[in-house]
Amino acid sequence: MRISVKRGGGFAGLTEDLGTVDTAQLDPATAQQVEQAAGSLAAAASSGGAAIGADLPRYEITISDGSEQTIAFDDDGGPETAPLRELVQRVAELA
Amino acid sequence: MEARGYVHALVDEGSANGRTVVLEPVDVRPLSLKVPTPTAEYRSQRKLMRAAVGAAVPPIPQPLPVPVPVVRGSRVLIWKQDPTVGEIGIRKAYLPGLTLSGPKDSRIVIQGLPAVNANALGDFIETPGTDAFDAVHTYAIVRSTLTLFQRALSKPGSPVAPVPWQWNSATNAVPLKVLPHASNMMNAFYSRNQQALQFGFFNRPGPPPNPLVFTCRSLDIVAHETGHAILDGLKPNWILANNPPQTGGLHESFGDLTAIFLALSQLDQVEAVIAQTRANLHDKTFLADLAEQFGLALGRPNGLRNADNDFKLSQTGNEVHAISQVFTGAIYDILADIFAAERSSARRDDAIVLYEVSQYLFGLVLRAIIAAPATGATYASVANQMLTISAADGKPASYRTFIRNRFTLREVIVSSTPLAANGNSDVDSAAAFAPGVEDEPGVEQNRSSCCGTMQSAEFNGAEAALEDEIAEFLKALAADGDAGKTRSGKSKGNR
Repeated sequence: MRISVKRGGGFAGLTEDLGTVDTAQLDPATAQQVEQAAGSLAAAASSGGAAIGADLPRYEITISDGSEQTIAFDDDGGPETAPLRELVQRVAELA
Repeated sequence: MEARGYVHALVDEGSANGRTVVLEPVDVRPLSLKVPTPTAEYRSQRKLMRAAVGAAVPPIPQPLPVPVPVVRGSRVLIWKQDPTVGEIGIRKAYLPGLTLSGPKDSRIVIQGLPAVNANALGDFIETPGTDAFDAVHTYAIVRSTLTLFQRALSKPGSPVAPVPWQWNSATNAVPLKVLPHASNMMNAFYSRNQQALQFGFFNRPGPPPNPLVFTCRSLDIVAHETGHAILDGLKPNWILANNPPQTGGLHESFGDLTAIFLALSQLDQVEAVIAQTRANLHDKTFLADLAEQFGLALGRPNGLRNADNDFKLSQTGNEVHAISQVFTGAIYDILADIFAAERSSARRDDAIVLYEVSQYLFGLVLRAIIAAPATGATYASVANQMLTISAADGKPASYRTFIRNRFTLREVIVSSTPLAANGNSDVDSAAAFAPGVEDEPGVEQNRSSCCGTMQSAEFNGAEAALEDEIAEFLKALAADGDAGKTRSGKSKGNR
């Protein structure tokens, strides 16, 4: 599974490529953690309500695992987007 | 040489009618320049005598009843712009309302950092660079911004304007949460869902050293985000992403204009701007440079954004921060135009004139925004409201000419008559100008990238006073029924 993360929006409107992680290149335990985080992210995306605010950072996460899926999130720092932040942090550390 | 005069020689000659004084000429010699002064012994004795006699004097009776002045305000230490703006640096400021440990008050609460307690005088004076300073600074800017709007919307004889947050109602007085050190991110934002302002911190990009930049240390950034929260209370539908790009641009511009007008509401900042620019607002100034430290971290010497710009609507696309610069630039030009027209340095201090002009223009923009449509507002709709309100205020025709000219040059409106360079031709206040460049029908906003974009109060009754303030706030909201109806934008959306 390849996971790519981009961040845009925000007060400055900057777009950053936070990196790409290929779980096949990770140790099995870490790979499992990252894949679980990606899975819970997809679930959160389908159940979460829209964040309302200004200058919210926007994340685009592309998950390639045979097929490709891109999930876009506005992160308002709430509990709904906690899985997103966890995944973003892991990808940023590992990329 | 002998000098003669009529100064000191008085000769008394008796006569039948009484006494006659005859002036005789005398020699006039140079006077000694020594002025007799009392000796230290004399002064000491006199002081003792006055103290002794004074103590025996009964006190002057005071008329009754005498209202005891309640001193509730606090002094704080703040960055007047941000740590990179040496022009004005750190200054002491006075917040006239009730501030409790945190800091917090009835409308604002700082979270995420250890609570800061006031000193024995009720002041919050902390060391720059510390968490406590950042907490106080951030609170003070949010508080000052809210006060700016409350004053602008207050009516003579009425209590303070409530200026509610979007979620407030007659039964909901939940304050705005403010997190000065929210997380490691190159950003700051307003979240309606979280009822919060969050300010990030980041390491300056580029070659080492990479010191931390705290967005909460910028007056511009804190005022900008507070502006979003205030506008969301006034126009709750504007923040939703299903609005056209210009409505999103108005939201972002409102944030930047809030920072500019907050600075111009502080007399020391106004004087600094006058001195820095020699009273020419188009000279480089910290007033027009927005978020200077943030901008410098990205290699931009004129701030993250600059209000003194020439952007036109056809040049900026659909990204909300980019398009916002058109409206911000137009208002900044109008400020400079009206200030230049009202200046009269021989009669009045430039700083006073700039302060007064900015106060008027701030109120004008605010009233125009409130009068603009509840959804899908365009720059032209706000510009036309400014023309109408300015005429109703009885302001000189030149004000409307400036407004018309500046919005025409930026392709916001189309003028039906040639522009007057000198600002002397009147603009028909009854006529609404057609919009210039408009959003394409159905086009969505782009928000993803852009051009760059007291002794412990709890033990001395202050908590009870805070409860009183909250009760007053709820009472005002209940009385403000009509306004509440217009603020009923509860629809969900994405931004």
